Amino acid sequence: MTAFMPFSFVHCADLHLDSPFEGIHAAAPAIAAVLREATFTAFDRIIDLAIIEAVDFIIVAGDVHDGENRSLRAQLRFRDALRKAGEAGIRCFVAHGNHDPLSGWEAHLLMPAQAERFGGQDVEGFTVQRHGATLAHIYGISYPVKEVNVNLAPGFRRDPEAPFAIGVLHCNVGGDPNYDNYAPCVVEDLAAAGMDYWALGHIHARKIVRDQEPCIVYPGNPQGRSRREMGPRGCYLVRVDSARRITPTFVPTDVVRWFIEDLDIGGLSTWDDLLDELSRVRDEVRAGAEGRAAILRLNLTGRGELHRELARRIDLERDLAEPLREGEPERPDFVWVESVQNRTRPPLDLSQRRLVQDFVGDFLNAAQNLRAQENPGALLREVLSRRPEHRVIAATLMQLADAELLAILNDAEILGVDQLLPEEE
Amino acid sequence: MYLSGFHIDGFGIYHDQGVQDLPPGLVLFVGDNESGKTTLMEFLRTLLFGFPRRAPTRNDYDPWRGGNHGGRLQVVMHDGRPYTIERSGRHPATITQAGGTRMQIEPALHLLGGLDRDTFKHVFAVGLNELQGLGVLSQEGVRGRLLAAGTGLGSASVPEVMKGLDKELANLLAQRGERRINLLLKKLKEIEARIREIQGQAAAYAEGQRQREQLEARVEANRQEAERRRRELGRVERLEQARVPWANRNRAREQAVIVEYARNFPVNGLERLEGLHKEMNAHRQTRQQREGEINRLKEQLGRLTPDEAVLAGQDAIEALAGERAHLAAALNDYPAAKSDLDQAQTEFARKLRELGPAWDVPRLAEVDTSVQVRQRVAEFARQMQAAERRFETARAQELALAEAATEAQNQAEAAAQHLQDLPAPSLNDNQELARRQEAVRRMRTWLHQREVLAERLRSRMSALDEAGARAAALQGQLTKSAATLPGWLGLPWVVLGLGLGGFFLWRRDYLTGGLVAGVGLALAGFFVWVSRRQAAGEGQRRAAIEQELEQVEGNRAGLAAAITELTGQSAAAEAEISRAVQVMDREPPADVTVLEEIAGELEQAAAQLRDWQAREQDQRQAEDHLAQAKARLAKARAETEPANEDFKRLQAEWAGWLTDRGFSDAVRPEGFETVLKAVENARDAARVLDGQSRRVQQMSGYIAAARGRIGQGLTDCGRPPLAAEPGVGDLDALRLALTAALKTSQQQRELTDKLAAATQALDILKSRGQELEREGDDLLRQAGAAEAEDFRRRGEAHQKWRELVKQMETEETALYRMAGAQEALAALEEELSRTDPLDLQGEKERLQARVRELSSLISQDDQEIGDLKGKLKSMEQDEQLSDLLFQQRTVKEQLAGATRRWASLAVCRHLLEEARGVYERERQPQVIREADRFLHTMTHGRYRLLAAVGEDGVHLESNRSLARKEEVVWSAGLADQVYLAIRLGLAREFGRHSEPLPVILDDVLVKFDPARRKNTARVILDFAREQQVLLFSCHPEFVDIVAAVRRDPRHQETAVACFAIADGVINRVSAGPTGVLPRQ
Repeated sequence: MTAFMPFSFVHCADLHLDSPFEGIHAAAPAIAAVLREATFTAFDRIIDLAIIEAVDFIIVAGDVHDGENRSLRAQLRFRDALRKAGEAGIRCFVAHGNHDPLSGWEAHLLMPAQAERFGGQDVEGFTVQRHGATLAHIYGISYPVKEVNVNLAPGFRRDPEAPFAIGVLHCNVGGDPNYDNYAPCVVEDLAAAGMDYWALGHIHARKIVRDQEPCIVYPGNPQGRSRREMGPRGCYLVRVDSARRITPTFVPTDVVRWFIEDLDIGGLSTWDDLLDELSRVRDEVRAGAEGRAAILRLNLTGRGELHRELARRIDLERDLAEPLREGEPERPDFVWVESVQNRTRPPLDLSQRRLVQDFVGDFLNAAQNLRAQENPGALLREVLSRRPEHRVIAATLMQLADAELLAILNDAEILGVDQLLPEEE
Repeated sequence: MYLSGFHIDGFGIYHDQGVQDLPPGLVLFVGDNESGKTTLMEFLRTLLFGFPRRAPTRNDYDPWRGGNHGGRLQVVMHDGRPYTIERSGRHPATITQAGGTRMQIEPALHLLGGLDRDTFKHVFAVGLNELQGLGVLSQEGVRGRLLAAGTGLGSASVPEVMKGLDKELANLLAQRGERRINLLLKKLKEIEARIREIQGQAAAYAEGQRQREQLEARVEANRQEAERRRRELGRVERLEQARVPWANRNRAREQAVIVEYARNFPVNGLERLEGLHKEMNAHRQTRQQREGEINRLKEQLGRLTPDEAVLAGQDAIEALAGERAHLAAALNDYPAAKSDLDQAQTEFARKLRELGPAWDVPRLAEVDTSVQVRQRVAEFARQMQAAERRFETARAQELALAEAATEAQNQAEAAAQHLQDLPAPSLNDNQELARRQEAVRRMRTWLHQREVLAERLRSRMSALDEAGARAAALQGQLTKSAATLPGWLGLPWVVLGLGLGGFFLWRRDYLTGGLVAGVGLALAGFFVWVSRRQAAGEGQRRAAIEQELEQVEGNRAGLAAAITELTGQSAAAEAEISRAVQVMDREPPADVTVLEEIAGELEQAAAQLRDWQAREQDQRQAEDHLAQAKARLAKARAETEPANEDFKRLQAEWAGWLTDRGFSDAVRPEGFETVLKAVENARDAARVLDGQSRRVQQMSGYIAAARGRIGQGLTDCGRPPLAAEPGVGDLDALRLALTAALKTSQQQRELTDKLAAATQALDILKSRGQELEREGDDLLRQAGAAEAEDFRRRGEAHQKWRELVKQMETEETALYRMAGAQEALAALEEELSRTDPLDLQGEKERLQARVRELSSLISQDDQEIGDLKGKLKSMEQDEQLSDLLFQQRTVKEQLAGATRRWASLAVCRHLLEEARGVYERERQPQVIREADRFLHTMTHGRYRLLAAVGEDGVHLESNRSLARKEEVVWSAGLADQVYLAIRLGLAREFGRHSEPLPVILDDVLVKFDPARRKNTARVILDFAREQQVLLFSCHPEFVDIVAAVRRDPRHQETAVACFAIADGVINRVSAGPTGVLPRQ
């Protein structure tokens, strides 16, 4: 029996190349240019990491592109990056996911010689060798179409001769409700396939589902693109030693990092206080971004004297976000304030105000009654559907989750109180 | 408040008209059109609020029948206080209280709770014009009362809020149109369509790649052929180029054979021979120049002789020259130093004189100017200044306190005199005074109460009398019975008809007989019917009279009970008045006027007491002040003397200190520092004098020594001095002589060296001339020439041979370069020897044409490839799809935001609707609830009145269908009923918060149908039970309606009076059994 040869590889997924950032409507040109390049730069960093660490291969576990409408530019950039890895002697194994199924538009570009793409019909296998000796067998399958609702894990079978087996799959393990339930499977399905390492994709938050026998890893996406994708983003550098021990190490690759910060207006009494506090938060975020650029959403929360002014007289974009953005485009470590959200509440206790027997009390009670219903979401949908213009956006409204509808109810309640009690202190 | 009477002195149609004893209930004024009803209402408005501001269309109701413009009103407040309001012309109103006190104050302020004219006009004194519309609800004075309760909204307006929400909702989304969400949806569709279009780029890109590959292959093939053709062309061109050098080389080879004999000529022979000849000529010239130069040097050397004595004294002269600047400065500065010495002596003498005649150098040295002495003097100065300041301060304070004591004494005496001048107060006890004032206040209340009770008693007695009269009248009506037709009157008509009918039948005139008999029977039937109807009418009349009689009797019993109760209350009031009289310790006041006089006296006594007590307090304070001033003066005097003694002791001590040190005792410590400064200045001047003396001595010694050394130098050199004493001029002359001697000695040495060198060079020149002659002979011998001319001919032939050899080498080198190798060169020469130049030219032209053709093809293809690459590159870098995807995301987010905002607004509006429903069901304002009650009665429960939250308007809701009815669809009558109900509701609500005022209605029921008019009469009677109503009408039948309604026991409590107005004359109409005017 020959000795097991240690090796290393990079596991990444969900590149979503050339996908736009959420919520960045009015970025300065310099910022917009950075954001537009961010997904590409993040993938370039993965390739650079692989070259510097002299890994044996790279795995891309689906969703290279953001949609079926993948741009030619994105495809070429991806091909060029793979070519660069190939020129460094590093092979790449690419699976396609729900965002870039094989049925999607493609420019028929030849993949570089060192790059392999998994087909969509059956699980395909490749071997990786060094100096004629086999390091590992890599199995994988791409999505032939966008929606794959079957469990693909049973299609993976390990070759008995394989010294080390890796499965590459874009799937939802355990049915994470925050993501589409494509290729649904459970940990036991994956364990049954006999792989040593599962290189998964689809879930954008990095997660080591299981650390051994087999090691199951979601690397997350290499670049956060919305406020839901906060914090460090990157890939895993996986080392397999001669004893077959697997050590995945997370390496951040994000160019721009997302932050959401809350600021309680409770102790603030003047406009200058608020601007000072917001500047302080921005500078703290800059420090926390470790030299990177950052996108920041600021949520104003709590009750305070400034609520009324914020609700009625202040243009949050013009009066708060824009001053905070001044001078940022010129900085490499910019902190771009994506938006300032007003989630403050009037400086009065609504639960107590509800008890007052007057029109405002009736208004608040009407909202409370709706909330207390057995199915408030359905009732709110019905309220909205009574308006004649509702049909124009009926489809959009139907997609609103109950939680979103309740948030709308809260907004409506605050809106009404602000309108009915304009001078309430 | 109710109007108990009025008198019109002169106002429009009225002159000297008035009525008294108006009841607090309903007062009807009935008269035809233009009889003066509206004028009367204007009179009442004017008395209460004055004439309105002048306006072009205003009618002032000038008294065209005489009398002063105005009149008076008697009113009784709800607490029973009577007032009379008088107004004449545009003068301010006068209000007279029950006791006769008159005040010039507007009734609106004093009696009407601050009500303004406009509100009174639109709520309390309403004509048909003022009744119209709901504008009254928007009036500032009304709106607050209508909306204040129940909303909790402050300044917010629900309709405005809903309007704002609707506006924003409409701006966001519409069923059709270009609102924000509609536009975003449209934009999203456009973006998605463009994305689909752009997907066609794939095929174009693939086709572009294929074309590029084909073109690149074709270009490669053409390049290879072009290369081959170029190589062939190169061979032909090489042959063409090689032919010229090949021919030249052959020709040179032939000519070289001819000049072969001169091959071994010496290298550069001709040049060398010419060089030798030139050098020999130059050598001869140089030798002659050298010999001349030697002779010239020898002559110059013989002319030079240096001064040896000066050269011997060189060291001494140079040493003196080194001191030349120092000596010159010393000689120059010496007179100034002497002058400074004189000045220093003068300055020192002046400083000593400043100190005094007895001062000299030893004494100057003895004076102690140390820091300790200076500190001691400063201490003296500080202590003496402090002591002097203490003394002066104490002295000034003593003088000020003496003045203050005098002032306090004066004030105490004035206060005592003031108190003595003041008369003693009639009452000395504050408590007693307060007790009596309280008794007066109670008395005033009870006197008012007594008058009110008396008025009410009179009113009830009058009503009892009226009720008795009415009961008697009804009894009389009962005893009378109306005449009726007897029932038997029909019988003769039957007999007559049948008789005549039988007669005509007998005459066989059947038609006439039948008709006559029928008529007779009909007449009989008619009489029977009339008789029965009259009997039934009589029964009904008697029943109505009996019912009214019963009501009247009931009223009488009620009035009798009320009179009994009022009598008891009057007795109680009298008892209270008696108790108050005992406390006052006075005779019982005859009326309120006397009581007010007593109150005035008590007020005066209270003022006297307060004044006396204040003066007493002033006197006590002045005496206290005087005692304090005297005590402070004594204390100040005790402090002045020690301060003075302390100051004198310090002065003596200072004089002793000065005397001990030999100074004058006239010096003050502050001036002693000046003396010390003068001593120090004199010491400084002595030091300066000493320094100057030493300096003058040093300079004098140095100058004498220097002059000695210069004299010795002049003697050694054998030179006399320029003046009696040697000086700087002698030194300069010695230095110049030394310089000249040194220069001559140097020149002598240089000429000797040059002469030796010139002699050596001449020897070398002679030797070289011999060498040159030997070299010329050797050169001729090497060329085989006998003499120089022959040598030159042989040299020219040799030059020719060399040129031909060089040409052959050049041409062969060119040929070799073209061939590239020795073998190739041989082949080339062989090919040149066998080819024809004309054939080569033709081949060359063919090859050139092909190469040009191929280059052109390649260039075209390259251009095409470049274009294709550009296109593909452009497609690769095309960010259009990225842009569109970005736009798609952006629009989707904007759409989500706008949709969420729309949903929030829609939900907010729904919540507001819900709250409004609750408000309308459960939280109607009191005014609207009152008005609704009135309207409910007027419309017999058909409608419900609603105020929308925060709105000034009202709605009607059908109690049957619950449908809303807006103001615009109300019938004229219904509208007036709503307006009247609201006025009554407002008047009632005003009354709750301030003085309830009488309501004046001028012909406001004209549009009402009979049923609603009757219902409205019920409402008015109901309202008038608590608030007086003056109703003006041109419809006498309303009197009947009121009378009919008043039969209802519920309305019998309401007192009613009726007046007829005709042509400006007002007459009370005696009341019938129901208390109101019978129909005319």
